[in-house]
Amino acid sequence: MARRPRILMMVVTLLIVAAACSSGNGGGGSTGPGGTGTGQQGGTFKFPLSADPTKLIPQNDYEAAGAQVFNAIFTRLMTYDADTNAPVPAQAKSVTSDDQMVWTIEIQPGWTFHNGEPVTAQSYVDAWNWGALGSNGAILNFFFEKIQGYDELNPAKGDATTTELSGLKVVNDTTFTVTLTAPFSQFPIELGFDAFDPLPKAFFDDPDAYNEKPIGDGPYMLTEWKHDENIVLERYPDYQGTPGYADRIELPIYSSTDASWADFQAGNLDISSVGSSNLVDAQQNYSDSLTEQPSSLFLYLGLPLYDPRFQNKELRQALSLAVDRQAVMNAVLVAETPADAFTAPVVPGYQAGSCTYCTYDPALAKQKLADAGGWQGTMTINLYSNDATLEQAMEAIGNQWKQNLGIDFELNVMNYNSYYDTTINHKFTGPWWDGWVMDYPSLEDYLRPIYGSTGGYNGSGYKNPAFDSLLTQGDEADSIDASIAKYQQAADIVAEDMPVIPWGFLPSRYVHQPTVTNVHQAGPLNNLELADIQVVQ
Amino acid sequence: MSRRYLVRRILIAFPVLIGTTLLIYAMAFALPGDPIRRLAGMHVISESTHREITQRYHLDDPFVVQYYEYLKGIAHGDLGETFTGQDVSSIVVERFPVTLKLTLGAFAVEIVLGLIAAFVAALRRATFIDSFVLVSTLVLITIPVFVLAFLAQLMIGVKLKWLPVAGVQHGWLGYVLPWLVLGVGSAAAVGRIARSNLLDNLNSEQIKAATARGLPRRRVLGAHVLKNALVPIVTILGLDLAALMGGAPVTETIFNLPGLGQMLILGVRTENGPIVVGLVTLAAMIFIFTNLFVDLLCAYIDPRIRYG
Repeated sequence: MARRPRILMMVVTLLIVAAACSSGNGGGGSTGPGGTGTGQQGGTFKFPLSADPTKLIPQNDYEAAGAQVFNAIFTRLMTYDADTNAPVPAQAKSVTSDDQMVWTIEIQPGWTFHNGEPVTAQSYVDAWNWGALGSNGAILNFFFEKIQGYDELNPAKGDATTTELSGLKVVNDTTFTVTLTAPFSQFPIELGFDAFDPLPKAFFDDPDAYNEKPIGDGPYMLTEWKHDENIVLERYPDYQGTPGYADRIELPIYSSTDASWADFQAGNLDISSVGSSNLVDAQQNYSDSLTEQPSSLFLYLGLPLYDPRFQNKELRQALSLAVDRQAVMNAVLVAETPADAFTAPVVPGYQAGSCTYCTYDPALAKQKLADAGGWQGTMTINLYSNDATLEQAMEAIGNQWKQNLGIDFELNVMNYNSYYDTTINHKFTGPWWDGWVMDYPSLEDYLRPIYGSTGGYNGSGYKNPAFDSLLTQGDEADSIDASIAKYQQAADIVAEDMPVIPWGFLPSRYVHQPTVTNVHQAGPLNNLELADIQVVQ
Repeated sequence: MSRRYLVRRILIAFPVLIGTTLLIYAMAFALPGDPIRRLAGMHVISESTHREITQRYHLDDPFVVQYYEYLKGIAHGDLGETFTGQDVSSIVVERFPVTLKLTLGAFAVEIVLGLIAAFVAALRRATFIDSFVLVSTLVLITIPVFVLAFLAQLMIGVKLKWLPVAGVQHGWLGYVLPWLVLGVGSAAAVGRIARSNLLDNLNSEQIKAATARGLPRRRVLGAHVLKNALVPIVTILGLDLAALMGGAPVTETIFNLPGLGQMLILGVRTENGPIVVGLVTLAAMIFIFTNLFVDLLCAYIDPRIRYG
């Protein structure tokens, strides 16, 4: 949570209270951080988790349930403004750099972990070193690769000779410096991601014990984790940031959304997220409290540019122009909205309509296909299993290509693990269903992974030096605003080349009982801002 | 009981067990794709992390070595580890009580409801009650468990709020609905079979003889009819106990009971090989030993079997 002047905070709180009283519908998501002890505090609410978290060590977990818990038990160095999604300091006091390469991070003094241990610069440095050391097997290890000394901790062969990143230097209790291997203007934005959370000494003494009862620096502390049953959070009394409203938060664990939805309907849960299977139900029965916010999910159809048949960009443009996204979404994928850009709408710098070939224009599509020299043979559309709706949607897309472009198609259903391998190893022979969720709200975190020539999720094999060079210019820009301009130029190149077919966005939707108000997403991140939720007393 | 029969039955259980684990292990092994890659969502996990985890779980060894290591583990009661570092054996220990409670409760529902229905129908043969039992059991057998489960959840849990909808936070009350849902289908099947068995016995000559000799009706029913009808019923009940465990995944998922069945479904959905192999191996063991127990029990009830 951002630390803001107390007066502003009280005004915000009063507004929240007023809004809650007048409409009885506190959702909407435009509200700022909560207030301090205004009588609104107190109470308990229940929100279901979609799974038992795999791990509760921020450097070693990458899934939605864990992220939702971290949201409340950690305060990251940076957070994002509720209105603009721009980065603002949270646990950090300031994050500065003159050259975008050596960063000085000053943290707020006087903060403590839930076990009373002070949060110091060393807490961050130790945590990052642990995550970066290959032999610890931390899933999010790759997040530290931009920091100087990463290679020494992850040698290609044999054991690492050191356990500390040479790029991290503790200056004093509240200050440390980070030296990157190359300029990276988005570094402060990245610091809002959980891989960069601090860890207390208690973690290093016994990582396994820590995993069962993680100790964070956030507004809530985890007091109980009964696997597959329930997680209980209680407000941390010594929290130095903006405290949360509820005294206690229960996160019961469900293995299916059908079960949690039934329990919400029965009144046993205060809040529920709304997935595509219960959207219609929510619209009919909970329209008063249904809130909708853009999410960071960007859905697209990948195209195998390494296959000679797909190397003509006019063909790729034709395929995109020939699908009526809205029609498929009206009929099958009801929860989605059509994509009109190459990034999700939550990112600062997102330009609506920047994907010029995302409109439905069968006539232009035919002409583009003719310019490309037509298409021979059958188009294989790939998708992964366990989703009947998805199969119908792919069938619909194929039918539109057949109808508008005369292209025959077949569906190829695969299991998920090999689907991923096929993407990364460039083995598809036709379009494939895919999607990307950013880790931090920056245009860069869509453009580089999916379209960059060194991008980790560049399944299409797209390579364009002009595009890569603009990304680098964005990295080197001396402010975030300047970087956005460069990244937008890069996005325009992608819009012309169409290495993928942007498909859709999936808004985050929540419903809640009258027992709670102020239910909204954590800024641009796809989880609930638990500390902001108020229990109606 | 003859010792030879006992030894023979136990010895047969082992090849069956080995065969099952080999089959399921090979199937999980043959699944295409790299499970470690998936741990970081759509990110490419760093080479060093990948190497570390691969070595930790012996994933680069050939199939025979991996299977041998796995069998060695099982012999020590260790069902291996998932790729996220969770110990499968401890998952089983944590979750087994839930499945056991669910299955035994449903089993009780099956026995009580099934036998009551059978007795009532058999003793009032060709009356309205008999027809009612026959028709209602037929209906219950044809309804799939998941339909019954969703229906019960919606009507009794969500609309009427008589019983908890899902989860184990409400203690044993949360189990009542799953017990009924899982139990009634089997109860119906048992009821029908037990009814016809009882009828056969009621009409048999020895019962007629017993009645003619003036034995009290209670003794005729208890000592003669029931005992003779018991062998097929026990066999069916024994097989059903295992079948109930097979039905547990659906019931546990719908009612959010954190048991083994729910974990199996999650394991399949996330293509988590170690979980699936471990749980299926366990299920096979339970099935084999329940069968063994039933056979021994039948041999005890009816001496003709053990000399057969």
